[in-house]
Amino acid sequence: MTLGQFGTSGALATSEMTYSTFAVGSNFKPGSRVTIGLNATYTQAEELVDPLGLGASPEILAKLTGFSYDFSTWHTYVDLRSTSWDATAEAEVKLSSVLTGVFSYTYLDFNDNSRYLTDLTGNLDIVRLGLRWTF
Amino acid sequence: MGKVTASFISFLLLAAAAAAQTTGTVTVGGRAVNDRGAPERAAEYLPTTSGTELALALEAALDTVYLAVDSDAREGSDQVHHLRVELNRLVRSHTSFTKMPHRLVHDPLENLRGAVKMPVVTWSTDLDPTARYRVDYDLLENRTDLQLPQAGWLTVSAIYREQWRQGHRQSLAISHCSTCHVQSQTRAVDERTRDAGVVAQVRAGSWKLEGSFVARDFEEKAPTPTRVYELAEQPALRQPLFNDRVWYDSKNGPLPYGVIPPSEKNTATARLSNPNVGGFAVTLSGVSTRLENLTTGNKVDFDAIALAVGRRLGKKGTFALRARSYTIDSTDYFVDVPEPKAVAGPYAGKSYYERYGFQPDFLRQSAIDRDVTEASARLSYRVGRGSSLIGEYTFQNIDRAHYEVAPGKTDTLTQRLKLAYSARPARGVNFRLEGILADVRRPFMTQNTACQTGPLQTTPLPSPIVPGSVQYYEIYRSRIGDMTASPSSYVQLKGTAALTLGPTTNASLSLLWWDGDNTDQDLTNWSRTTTAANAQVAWAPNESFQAFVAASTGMRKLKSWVCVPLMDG
Repeated sequence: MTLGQFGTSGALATSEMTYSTFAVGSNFKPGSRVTIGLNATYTQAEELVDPLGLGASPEILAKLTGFSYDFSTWHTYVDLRSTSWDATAEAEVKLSSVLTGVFSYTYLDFNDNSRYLTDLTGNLDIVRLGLRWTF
Repeated sequence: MGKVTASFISFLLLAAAAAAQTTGTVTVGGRAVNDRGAPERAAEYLPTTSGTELALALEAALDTVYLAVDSDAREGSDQVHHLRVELNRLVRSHTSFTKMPHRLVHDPLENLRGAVKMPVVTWSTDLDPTARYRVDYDLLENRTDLQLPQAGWLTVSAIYREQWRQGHRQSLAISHCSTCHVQSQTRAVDERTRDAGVVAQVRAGSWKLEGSFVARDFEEKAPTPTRVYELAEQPALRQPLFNDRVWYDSKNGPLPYGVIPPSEKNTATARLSNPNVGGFAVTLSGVSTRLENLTTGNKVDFDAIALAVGRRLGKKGTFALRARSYTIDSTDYFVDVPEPKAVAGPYAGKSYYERYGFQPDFLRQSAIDRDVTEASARLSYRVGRGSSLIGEYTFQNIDRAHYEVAPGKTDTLTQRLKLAYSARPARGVNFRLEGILADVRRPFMTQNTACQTGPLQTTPLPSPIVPGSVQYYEIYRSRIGDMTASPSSYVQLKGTAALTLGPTTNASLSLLWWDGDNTDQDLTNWSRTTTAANAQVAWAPNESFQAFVAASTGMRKLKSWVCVPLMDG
């Protein structure tokens, strides 16, 4: 039987978001014809909500005859936790006065450690190879 | 568009390459991509296909023409092109075209199962559960300046900007009954935003006057999604007892939702400046815009005027004063709610108003309508070699036309004081310390929009079908809690340092702390604390080797009162 709304349950909600990023990079010329570059970034991020201590007065609860509420897992539906990598190694080799060979390898990785939405975990390898003509 | 761009650039390449004074590079290559799992985050703005790549950068300086092309075409949906053309210094034109994908997340709506343990009354239906969403973004921009030698004091420019967003995204439609049933389906996106305008700049002595007019039109060409809504009936008794309070249901067939209307926006600006009027640098500017919904005719007007004045104070000080006043005014809209009559039950033949005396019609007046005055005064003084002290006072008064942020009050007054000190205590050491203290009187909040302190009582007009129940308008009127996400006061401290650790090594460090809260509300409180730290060390021992290490970390803690309605039904 539908009776309606008989009150509210209130609580102080606390959420905490933290992130940390660490990045390194270098550019190196071992000889007059070769240039090497390395860059990498690691990021860890999370946003967590504390469990809610929702409650209601006995007068309200006494009227809720047909429904029972359970908020004990509510906070787990909004947790976000992830780690990610973004790393690239690249090289250029001068083949002649007008031709340069270029190469790069990129690794992108996202780890979804709290799958509130669908599982967003995924990664890619990207390899690039090319020839540059300077005129 | 891609074919047009490719043909255009090919033509320019051939034309420029034929010229003797052409320099540049052409890079031809290939890309191999191996992707695993979901690409929505790992490759949110990247293509995941393998293929050929072409990049070119060339400059051609001819007798009367200068051409520069910078182009990077990686895939059909990942391209950046720039074209600069100058004709005998009379015409300067810059055109750019950018194209990139944006992958969007598909929400499975599992959070709807998060609260009610038994019986489960909130549920969702996904009509495209395996769909992957993506919107491709294209942007074409051009600015062409014309300056005649006979009128060197005048520059006239034409500007053009066109943006497309095409693809598919998830769309949600909620049922009558406060999101009890959420339906998800794929929605096509085919948006176009076009800006066209003219800018004129006039110089007379040390005075400069600049004016512009830009017209924008927006259109969503994809079809509006539709939903067949549930039959309007009392959910427990399964009887047609709610026809006096529900406008539409399954008998109306598919109905549109999430309608995106076409709109136009016209913006006019004027700016007059002079770097020296009696020792003062003066800038006076004004802006006027009108945004119109072409379906309803509703409008939003924005009009602003601003003044900036600054001057040096002796050899060690500077003074700057900025003031701005603006108004926002939108069309009021009367919502005449259809009031069908009940078809069954003890109130058959009566409307909801006739039974309960509740008038559902209302005049919609926007909370954005306001008069705003804001100003800041800034004084800086050099206290020593490499050291300076800065003080700044800022105030902003927002007076809303209709919306109350406290009982009988529509205005918010923000006052902010900033003090900063920068110094170079030793060679190779620079630091800056900054503190901000702010007070917000009557910050933005919604009054009486959450929480009841006790059980709702049955009214003198209870439902004869379900004795003891209460009506929705009674639930709304019984709320006493104020909600906000704005502080009534906050403090910010910031420190930065730059260090030279040796002839080949530099380091930098910055720290930020922000703390604000709002204790002005009835029943509920809000607070937020943010900290952030960044550090970087760069090392360049010789021309053949450079390296850096950087780290950043941060934290945000948010506290807000939550009220959950407890429904038995």
